[in-house]
Amino acid sequence: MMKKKLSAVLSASLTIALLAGCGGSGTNENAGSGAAEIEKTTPDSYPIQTDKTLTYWCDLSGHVSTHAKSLNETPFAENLAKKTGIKVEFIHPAAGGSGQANEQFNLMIASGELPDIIESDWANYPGGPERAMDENIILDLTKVFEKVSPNITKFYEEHPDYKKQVETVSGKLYHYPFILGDDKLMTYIGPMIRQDLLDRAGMEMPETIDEWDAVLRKFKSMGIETPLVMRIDNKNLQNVSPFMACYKIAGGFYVDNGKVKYGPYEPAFKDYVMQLAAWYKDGIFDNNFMDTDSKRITALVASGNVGAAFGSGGGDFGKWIPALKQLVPEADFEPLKYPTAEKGTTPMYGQKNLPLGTFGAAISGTSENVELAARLLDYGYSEEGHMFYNFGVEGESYEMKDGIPCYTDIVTDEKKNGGLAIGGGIGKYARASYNGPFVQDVHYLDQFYSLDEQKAAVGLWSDTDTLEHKIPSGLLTDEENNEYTTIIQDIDTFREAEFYKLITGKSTDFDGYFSQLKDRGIERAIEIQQQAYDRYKAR
Amino acid sequence: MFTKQRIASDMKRNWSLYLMVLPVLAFYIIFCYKPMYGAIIAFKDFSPGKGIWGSRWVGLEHFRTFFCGRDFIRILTNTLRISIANIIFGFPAPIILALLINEVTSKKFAKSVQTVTYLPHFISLVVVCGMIKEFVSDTGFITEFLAHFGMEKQNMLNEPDFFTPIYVISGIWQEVGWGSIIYLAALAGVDQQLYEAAQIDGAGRFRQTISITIPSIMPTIITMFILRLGSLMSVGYEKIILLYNPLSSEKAEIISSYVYNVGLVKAQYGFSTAVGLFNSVINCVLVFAANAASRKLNDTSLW
Repeated sequence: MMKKKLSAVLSASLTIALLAGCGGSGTNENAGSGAAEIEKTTPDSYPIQTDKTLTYWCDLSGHVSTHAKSLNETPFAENLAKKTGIKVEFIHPAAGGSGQANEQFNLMIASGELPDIIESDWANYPGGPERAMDENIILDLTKVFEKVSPNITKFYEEHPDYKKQVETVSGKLYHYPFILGDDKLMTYIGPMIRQDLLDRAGMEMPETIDEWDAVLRKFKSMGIETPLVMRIDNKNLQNVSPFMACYKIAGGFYVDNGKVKYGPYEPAFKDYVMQLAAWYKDGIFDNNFMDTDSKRITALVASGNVGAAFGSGGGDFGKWIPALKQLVPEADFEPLKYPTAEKGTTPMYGQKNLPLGTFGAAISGTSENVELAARLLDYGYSEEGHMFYNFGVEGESYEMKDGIPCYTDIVTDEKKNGGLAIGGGIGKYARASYNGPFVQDVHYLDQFYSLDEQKAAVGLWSDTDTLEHKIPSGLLTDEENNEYTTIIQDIDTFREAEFYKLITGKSTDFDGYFSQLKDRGIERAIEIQQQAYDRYKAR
Repeated sequence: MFTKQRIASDMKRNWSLYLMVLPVLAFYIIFCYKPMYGAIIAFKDFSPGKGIWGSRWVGLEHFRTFFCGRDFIRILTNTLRISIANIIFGFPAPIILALLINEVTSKKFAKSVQTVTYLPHFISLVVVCGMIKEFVSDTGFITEFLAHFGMEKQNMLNEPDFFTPIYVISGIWQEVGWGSIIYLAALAGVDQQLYEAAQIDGAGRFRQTISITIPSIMPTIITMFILRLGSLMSVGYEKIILLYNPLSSEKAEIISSYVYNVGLVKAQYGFSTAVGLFNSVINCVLVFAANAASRKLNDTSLW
């Protein structure tokens, strides 16, 4: 009895140890032994003759999960095998929202059984890409690129500034990145407002915080229950920073005239939070904002009780607008620029991604098929691969019209693609509607956004100075990363809880908030980021 | 006594029994003892790429970081608060229910009460937590009901002080029927002659419960109590994770959810194993202590 009890207790609380305990087998003795040496044995042209199957770990996009349990079931995977000659078995983390992908990634790493290819945001690896290479989780691809990846090598030769952005501190390349091929593709989240309500109120599109405040309050008095809906969890606060430009700050780390700052530690953050708290108190800002579940928000917006919202053009407004129009036919969401500090100025910050970053496909340190994996991934950067990843197969999923690739109706037409939205239709044949190891093509976007509101949004939302303030990720050295991660993980948890308390009025202790951030080492974190940024600039 | 020969001949004679015990043995070795090897990483700066042996030894550094860290006092008190509240209110609940069912004369009524109280036990925890979230949301029926008595109408899970009551009460709702089964079984074994004798002496039903029923099932209660104490520090993380949010985390984060968050979400494997190991050691000590105390006071013990 005793033994049973004891071991049960021990084993139950040592789940972590169990996971780690299985890890011995797959690990390589030569961890961190440097760049992979490789000789080219495959012919230049595709398809390559091989009977090997590569394993490929990646997140399952919402544009695929609506019609397939795995990429393996899609025509995309079938065609990829035909085009490249390499069979691929895709492995996905168990479904359960984006929050779990990171956790499942950690589990996969800890299990020690690595697939040939891992597609992920390598900034999320504890210690960053540099450490991942050091620990032999992924390969240093610098040599691999030279020998067996002519296409991406050519791309980097044509875009040396892109290469600079993804090189690690020690000048290594580690992944086949997802690259945004056009300015328009960099922005996809922003605000829209109900034009019909503005007309009824006799008001203009708001620009500054005061105008927004007046409009939202007017909406409330007109009987709109929840005038404002937006997500401000850690991720959205950092990337989208809604309304923060009004206070000339951003939600995470950013650069201001060469100086690194952390938005939530700036004095202006207090004013920002106080504005949100006032909106929360008066029922203007969604009182369940902590619940960022997309179904809940869709239902709320579709009920006609929302006056303005921040969301993504495709995934959010693409759903919200048709759903709302069914119930309120006269409803008219129109995009507008990010709120700004002074009338007529360009907003300082908003959602805008750098053309490429730490997200991409890497080859695992234990892979025995490095050359094949490299050839497979390099395909996405060839001319043929570019068309394939973006549009699929000519004559099947797209046709050329006046030199522009157009999706055929088996992709776009709900009746022929199995009742899917366009993103899902594309997801069957290509990866343009989400990401992958290729350069995203701007022609995809014009077809992806079917509503005029969405098309108009891109220009308005991207009109910010974001890129002047953005810090590329993955600039830290291994040592810096260690220290920085410890500090920032602690701060992230603390800051989010405190931020919510301050908004909901459960706390009003701003001094305590700022001094806690200081105690927890925010100034050291800023210092580390500054060092890294200066080094990057000096490159 | 256990000479080699005797064991060998015993094996020959009862080989089928030994064969039957083999899978059980294998189960414990594979699932309970082998994983303990992984506990080594509590003393290492573990990185999956380097493996368990390849990682650097750090001695007790993880323990030091944990004990001196900001979170230690908070999650320890949270664990103890939730756990002790669970024992104070959750432990007697099934006993009381069993006693009540025992006193009911209508068999049909007793059976239906039992069935109704069992049911929540069979619902998946995820669903149960989804229901709880709905019930206590700002428009949930429990919130609406309490609002009549002057409570502010808000999502109750956003209020840190409500977390423990919600956790404990929902726990009772979920497990009270299931937990009462063992006590009902014990009650069925009480000698009926004792009750007859008590009736002749003029004892009422309440007196009979106090003087006969409870002492008769005391050994069962004690055994259950020792087992329960053993898990004092291990409140399951699943329900916590399903219910808490950043607002309530200051009162809701407990050791096991912390291990999960730090280990799997933030990938600090070594550190979180150290925390888990600490938790297990405390649990183990508690079982021994409770067992010893009970043997002294009561002559009832697990071993």
